Amino acid sequence: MSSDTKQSGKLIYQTLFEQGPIATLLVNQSGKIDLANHHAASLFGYSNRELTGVDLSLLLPSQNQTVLRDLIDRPSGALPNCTIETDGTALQPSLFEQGLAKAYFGRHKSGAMIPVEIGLHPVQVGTKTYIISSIVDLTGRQEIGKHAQERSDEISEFSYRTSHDLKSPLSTVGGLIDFVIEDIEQGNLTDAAEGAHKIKRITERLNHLVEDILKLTKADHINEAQAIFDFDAYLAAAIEKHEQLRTEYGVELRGNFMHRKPLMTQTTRLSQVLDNLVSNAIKYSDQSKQDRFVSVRTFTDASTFYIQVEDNGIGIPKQQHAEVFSMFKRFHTDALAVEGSGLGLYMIKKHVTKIDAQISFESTAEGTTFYLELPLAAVQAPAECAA
Amino acid sequence: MSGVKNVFFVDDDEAFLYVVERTCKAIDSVGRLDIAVNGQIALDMLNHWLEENTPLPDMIFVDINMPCMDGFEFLEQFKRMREQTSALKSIIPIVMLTSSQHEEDKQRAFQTQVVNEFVIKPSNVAEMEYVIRHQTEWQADISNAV
Repeated sequence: MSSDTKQSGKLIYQTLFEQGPIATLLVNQSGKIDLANHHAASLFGYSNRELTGVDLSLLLPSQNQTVLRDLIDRPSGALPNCTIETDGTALQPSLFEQGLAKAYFGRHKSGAMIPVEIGLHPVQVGTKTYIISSIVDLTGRQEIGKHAQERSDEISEFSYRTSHDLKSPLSTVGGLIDFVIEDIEQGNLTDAAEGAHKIKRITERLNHLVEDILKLTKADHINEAQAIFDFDAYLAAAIEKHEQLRTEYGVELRGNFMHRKPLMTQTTRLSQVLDNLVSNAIKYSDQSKQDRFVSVRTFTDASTFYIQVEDNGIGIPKQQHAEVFSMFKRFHTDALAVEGSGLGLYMIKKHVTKIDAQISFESTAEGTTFYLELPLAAVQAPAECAA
Repeated sequence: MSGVKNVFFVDDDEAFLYVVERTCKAIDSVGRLDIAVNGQIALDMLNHWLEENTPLPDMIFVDINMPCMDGFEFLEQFKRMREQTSALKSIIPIVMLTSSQHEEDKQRAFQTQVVNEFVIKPSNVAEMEYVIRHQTEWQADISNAV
C-alpha cells in the first residue's frame, strides 16, 4: 500500500470519527479520554482539545464510575457491547439491541445534567484495550415522551368526560320524549310544551358542548401570524356578540384601555380568551347587585402588557380555586339556561400557553378578576399607540 | 314489599329530575320525594332532617358528576356522617345512578362501602320506572331485614 493511499485511508477514518453524526469518545484503560469527536465536545460544552486526556468522570456522574471502570478493567474478550442504565447496572447486549436502554446523565461544562444514552464497545488495538463510547442526547426524546404522556392523559380525561356529558343529556331526552308523547296523547298540551322546552334547552346545551369540543380540538392547531390587537375594535365586536346574553343577565360590558404600547399577538387566540372570560363573567353575574358589569382593562410597563377582566359577579367558590383551569369543571349549581360546557377556562389556559402569556385570578363573593400578562417583544414597539 | 318508601335524589340535572318526579308520581310505592342538586346540599338536608327529627329517606339515588360536591365526595362525607351519627346507624341503601359506564367509577363507588348498587341512568320512562320501583322495593326491603 502506497504512502499516499495509507494517508488517504487515515484521513477518511479520521473524518468519519470527527464528523460522525453521534457523539463518540475513545477511552483508554486508565479511564481517560484519548479522543473526542466534534459532537461529543459540543454536547458537553467543551472543545475537542479540552476533552483529550481528561478523566471520563468529568463527563459522567461519579456514582456510575464503578460500572464503567469494571468494564474497562475487564479482559477485552469479556467485554460485551452494552449500555448503562440510570441505576448504574450494565444492560445485556440483547436489551440494548431491542432499544430498551434507559436514560443516563452526563455532566455539561456548565454543570447542567444532560439525559444521555451511552453505548460502550470494546476494541483491541495491539495490546491495548479501548472503549469506544457513543453518547446520544435524550433531552429531546424525554421532552417528546413527557409531552406525549401529558397528551395521552388529557385525551383519556377528555374522552371520559365527553362520553359522560354527551350521553347523560341524551338519556334524559329519551325520558322527556316519552312524557311529551304521553301528554300529547292525553291532551295535556301545557305539560307537553313544558317537556318540549326542556328538550330544546338540553339540545342547545349539547350544541354548545359540541361547539366547545370542536373549538378545543382546533385550539392546538391555530397557526396564525402575529398582528397588533385592536382593543377598541374587540370591545365593539364583543358588545355586539354578547348582546343577547348581556340583555338577559343585565350586564354592562366596559373597556378602559390605558396601554401605551401596542400588543403583537395571535389575535384569534386572544379574542377567544377574552370572549370566554367575558361570557363567563356575564353568565355568573350576581343578580342581587344593582349595577352588574364586566370591565376589560389594559396597561403596560417596559416589558409586559397587562389585561384585566373584572366583574362584580358571584365569584368562584374558594374550595374550587385550584381546579379553575381543569377540564369540565363547573362551579355553580344554579347557573341558568345557558349552562356552560365546563371547557371554557381549560380552553383559555391552552390559548394563553400558546401565546406565551400568564394567567391568574382573584375571586371573592364580591367578584372575580382575571389577570393576563403578555411579554412585550423588544422588536414590536415602533411607537406609542393611542390609548 | 313493605309499604311506601321515601326516596332522595341527588343530581344536578334539572330535566332528569323532572323525569324522576313524574315517574315517581306514577309509582305507588314511592312516598316522599326529596331532591338535592349537589352533594353539599344533600348533606345539609340530611343534617337538617336529623336535627328536626324528620323521617330520613329510605334510600338515596346519587349521581357522580355534580358541581360543588360530586357524588364520590358525597359518599365519603356520608360515610363519615354515618359513623358519627347514631340515627344513621340503620343502613340507608344508596344507589349510584349515573351515565358513566366506566368500570373505574363502579369500582370506586363500591370501594366507599356505602353504595349498594351502581346503575346506569335509564334512557326512557319505562326503564326509569323499573329502576326506581325495583330499587325502592328490593333494596329498601333488604335494609329493613338487616
